[in-house]
Amino acid sequence: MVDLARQAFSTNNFGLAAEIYERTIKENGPQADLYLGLADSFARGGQFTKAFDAYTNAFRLGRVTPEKLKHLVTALIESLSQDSSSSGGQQNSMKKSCMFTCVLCRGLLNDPVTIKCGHTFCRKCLERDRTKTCKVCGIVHYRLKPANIRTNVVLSNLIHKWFPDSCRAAELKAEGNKFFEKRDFERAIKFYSEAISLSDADHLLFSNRSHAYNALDQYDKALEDAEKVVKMRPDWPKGFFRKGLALYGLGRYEEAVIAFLQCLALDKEVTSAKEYLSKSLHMVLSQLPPDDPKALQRQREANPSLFQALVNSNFNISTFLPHITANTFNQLKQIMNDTVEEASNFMPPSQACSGASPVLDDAKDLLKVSPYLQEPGSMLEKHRCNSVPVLKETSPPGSPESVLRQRSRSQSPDRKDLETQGSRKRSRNPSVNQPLSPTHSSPQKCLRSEAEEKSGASDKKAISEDLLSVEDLECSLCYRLFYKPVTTPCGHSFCCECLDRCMDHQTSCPMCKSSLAEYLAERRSTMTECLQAIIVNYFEKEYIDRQKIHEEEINELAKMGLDTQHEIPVFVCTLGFPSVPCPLHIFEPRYRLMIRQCMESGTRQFGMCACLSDNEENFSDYGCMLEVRDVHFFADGRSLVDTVGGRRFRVLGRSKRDGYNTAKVEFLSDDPVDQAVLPELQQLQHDIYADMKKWLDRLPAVHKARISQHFGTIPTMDPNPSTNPNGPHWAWWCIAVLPIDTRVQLALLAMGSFKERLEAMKKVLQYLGKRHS
Amino acid sequence: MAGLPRRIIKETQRLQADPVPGISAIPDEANARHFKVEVAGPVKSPYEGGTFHLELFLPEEYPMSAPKVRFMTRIYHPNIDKLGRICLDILKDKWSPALQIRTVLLSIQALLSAPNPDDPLDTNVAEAWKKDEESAIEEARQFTRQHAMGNKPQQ
Repeated sequence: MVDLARQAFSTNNFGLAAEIYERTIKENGPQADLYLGLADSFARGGQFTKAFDAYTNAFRLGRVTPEKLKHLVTALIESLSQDSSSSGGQQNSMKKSCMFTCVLCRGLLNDPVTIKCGHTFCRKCLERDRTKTCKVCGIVHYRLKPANIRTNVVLSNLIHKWFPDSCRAAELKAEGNKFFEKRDFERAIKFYSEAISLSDADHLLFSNRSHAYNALDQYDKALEDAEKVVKMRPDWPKGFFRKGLALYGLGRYEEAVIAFLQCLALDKEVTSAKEYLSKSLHMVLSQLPPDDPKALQRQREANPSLFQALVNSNFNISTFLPHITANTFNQLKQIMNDTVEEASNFMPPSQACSGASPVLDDAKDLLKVSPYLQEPGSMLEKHRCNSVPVLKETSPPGSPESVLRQRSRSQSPDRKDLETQGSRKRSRNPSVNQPLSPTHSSPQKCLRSEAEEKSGASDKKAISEDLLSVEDLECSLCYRLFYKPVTTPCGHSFCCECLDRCMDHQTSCPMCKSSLAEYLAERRSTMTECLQAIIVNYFEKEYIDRQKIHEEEINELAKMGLDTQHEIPVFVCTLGFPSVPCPLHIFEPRYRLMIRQCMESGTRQFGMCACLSDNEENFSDYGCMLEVRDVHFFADGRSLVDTVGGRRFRVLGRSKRDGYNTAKVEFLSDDPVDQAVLPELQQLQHDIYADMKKWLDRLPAVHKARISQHFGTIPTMDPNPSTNPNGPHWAWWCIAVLPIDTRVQLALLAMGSFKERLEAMKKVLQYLGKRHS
Repeated sequence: MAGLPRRIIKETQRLQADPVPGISAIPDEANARHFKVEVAGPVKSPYEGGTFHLELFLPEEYPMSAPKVRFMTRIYHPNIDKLGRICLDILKDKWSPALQIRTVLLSIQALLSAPNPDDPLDTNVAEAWKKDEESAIEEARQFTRQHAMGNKPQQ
């Protein structure tokens, strides 16, 4: 029978398992193991009232070790996470973007390292966190090795300049930690206290001191510090863990259970919290007095607590008030939800927004002072609790519970806002494949929305004016304020654009020469978020100016070829022809830059001119625009660019920009065809097309294959050759394919009449035909 | 790119506001990419007491490519040839865009203090230097007296 129950349990059929256990108990008489199995089944099935009943029986019947409570712990955590996920408490995505704060320890960044996704953590925190998952964005970095990432120099210098006291406190803390490791807790406490005197808003200092007090069995002091931590950072799971430990040490196990549950509600992966939760639950359950209602009564009166109500109700009140315990437990869960909610809405005090609405406060108060919880069990209570709808499963509108529900509902839009803002922000990140539209919203607008985002989410602190120097956030390549700052694994920050340009030339860091080959190969170029946030928050005006400059630069590039004054970039290499594909291998630094600029400005095209002499500045007088269809990057920064010919142009003036050639041009198109001569032209086209086919047919198979591989097969003839201003596609295909000198091709490119071109092709084909025969 | 890049403007400003001791670099009025440089011979070097004129030019691709620097004053140095060309790694393959006019000039000053005959440009000078350092240094002093004292910048 028991085997059957176990089987049901292991297949998550908890209801059946409970049933079998119950029957077995009835048949075989009460046994600790059976009750434990029954309790586990109830717990995993979410019936905590009955579960606690059964656990109590198990404890009464025999020795139960804390480890045996693992199913209860799992079930409690599961029920917490179900609840918090349904109320939108996704922990990872709720982490807010910060400037100087490490999301892992929630303290001032100490020895900051920026990882590939652009998020920054304390080195120690990152080393300790072995998940290889960024706790801000959730990206998994399989090859993350904190030891290989060097300190973010700009950020580290800035933090030392702006927060000298906190940095000194961090040093003292590190000293304290050394003593802690040597188990010299008294000295450790001395250092922590000194650090606290410098920086009394640093929760980490209190947390460490609490830890040390715990180690010295000075639990009251440990609790005092832990309470401060929780107050300062209700979003930090470890604070609740410390509190739980202190309470555990003080023998206040029920409160400890709640503290550990709060910790786990924020992060259900904290193994030590699970362990202590099970220990605390064990203590709570072990402490239950034997069947002595008076002792129970005394205990209840001596120590009325929310948890007490929960526990008591499991073996006493539940017999005549069955719905109460379930509700009590729901309230416990509500506290957990509040913890999560408070954590997710938490802002450091310097900029916390002012209070919630009075209704919400009332609801909370109601929950806390709910009369039933104060003195459970009395008949008066029974009456009262029936009239206090907070304890009912289904409550009428306007009741505290529904207010609570409304409250969580009313909070969800905020959360949604936060999320959409978050995604908006992400979408602004630079992307290789997405050319930036030159006409996106005005800088002011952008900035305002960004500032709004930040003001709700950042850790902005007042910094004295004389410490604010824009030169601290200047790119060492362009000497301007960082624009889209990126940070290399060697800890150096540059504007994304500046670093890209450096890497066109060499794959080593401009500052320290360490290799950036891997960085380049990944082509991530994600913005260093905290630097960007600092710029937006502290150098707003400069940032607007910088953004304007950048936009002007991009707009200038985007205007290429708009008129004869706006130069087009020119690739001096070969000849391109309208609608004929032209794959290019880009390896020269200047052309890497040119392609990037084409893509970022959104024009996605450049001029192609033939190189006619040794001096490439004397490129051909005529050329063809090439439109980029696709760019494929190699790991070393070279690229294959798939282009196709567009309009033809005549060069009016030559110049240079950023190392490559540019030209002022006028675009060419074919002269319109007189309808009267159209039939004649069509006949000519027909003849030449036939001649061309003949020539192609006579080619050796190898040549034919090569042509079709490179240019495709011959396009079909245009029935009306006068419709396309560039002239029919097939003719350009022929000109590209025919074995003729570049100068001849160039002459054909320059012709403004299709007829003229056909006649020239006729001559070429005749010549080739003669040579063949 | 229209006009002078912001970086060159800033570098020029900073060079003037906070000059490197013993070095002056003044941009040409006609061409802001062209600098007239004067380097004082470092103390305790055979060039002490001399004033060396150099020209420094920032090419179109600066800072992606290194500045072009040349000694205008004759100097007896294993890493500087008769035409004034300088053999200095950061001006060639070791150039980095994070280096600046200031760091280039400091490196040249350091090169005067510590000639490196093992990586010579003028092999004759380098051989003399290796064979008999003392007389090579004396020769350098002589050159300094002859060319680098009381001299005016060449046009």
